[in-house]
Amino acid sequence: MTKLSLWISALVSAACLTAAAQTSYPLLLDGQERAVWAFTLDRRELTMTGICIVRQGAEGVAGTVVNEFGVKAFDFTVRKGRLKLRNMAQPINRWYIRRTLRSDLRCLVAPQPRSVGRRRTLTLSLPDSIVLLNKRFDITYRFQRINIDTEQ
Amino acid sequence: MHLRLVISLLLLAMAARTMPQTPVAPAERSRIISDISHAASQVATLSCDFTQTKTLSILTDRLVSHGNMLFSRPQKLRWCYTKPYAYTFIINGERISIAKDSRRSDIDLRSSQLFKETARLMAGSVTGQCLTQEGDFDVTILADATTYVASLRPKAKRLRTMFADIRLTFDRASKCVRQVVLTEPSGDTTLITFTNIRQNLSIDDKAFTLD
Repeated sequence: MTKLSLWISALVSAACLTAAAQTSYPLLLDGQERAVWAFTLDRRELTMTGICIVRQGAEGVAGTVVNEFGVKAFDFTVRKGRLKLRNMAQPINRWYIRRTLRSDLRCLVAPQPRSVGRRRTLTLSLPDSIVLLNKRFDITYRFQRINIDTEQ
Repeated sequence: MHLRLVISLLLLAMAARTMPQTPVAPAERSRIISDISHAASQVATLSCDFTQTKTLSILTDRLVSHGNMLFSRPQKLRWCYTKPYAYTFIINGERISIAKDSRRSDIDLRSSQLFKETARLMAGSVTGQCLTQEGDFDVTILADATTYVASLRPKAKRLRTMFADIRLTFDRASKCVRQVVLTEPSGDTTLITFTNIRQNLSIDDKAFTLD
């Protein structure tokens, strides 16, 4: 009886977690329509900074990363559970960069976030701060929530 | 009679304001570019405030930021965002310095062709000097009653992947750049409007360092 109770509890917990993952993910929490982040990417001596805007729409999630000058780094969309990168800036539009970026972003914004596994470390101080480390390629993504009004 | 006159004048005024810009003839184009180039050569220093509006096509959001700019011939530029984030970008000869939060970085332009082109584009855009860089851009000049608009289409592939079109709006009287519109291949646009423009003021060289 006790074992049965434990099994039921575990199944219910798993179901709750799965349900939560479908509607809430680090870059855009449940109930939020829009989130704006100060974005930093570090890899060895290279640092890229900018602004990341993520918005929930009727068809799914869309986001963009631009630098402070407004020059776009890339867009991304999540439709039917699939994350796609779009309009990547030419200097970073390489298949190996796209593959790594897509794989890493899936940890942060997808209906069922990819498990970070052993190759990544995800540190969440929600709602204000996210740090994702890709240990294999030594890439650190930092997101710091900022309050910027964006007009529509 | 008076009413007809007033209505006619109002209609004329409205027509003048909505008159589309039209491309100028080649001879006129050369004259305008020459005038703007001459006016730009008289600018030793430039100081102004700017408002930058980034239109994001994929999100239908607009990101508005504010800051100020200093320029000193031949290639010193301080571009400083103050709101809603603090970010400083300085071109000082062959060096670029960037400061954001507590981070600072310095880049030697000789080691980065991309940054070199970016620096040249920025310095050329704020004064209009880029109009004479015919090897780098296809330049079309449009005019209306109060402004000249120069449409620059990059020739180099690298710059074309960043910008499909760069539009500089000049005040017809002063030949000063009032507005810059950068259009990216994705359809995003960045509109930069300059205000409080002051020319040939004394600017301390220290303004072009991060110290």
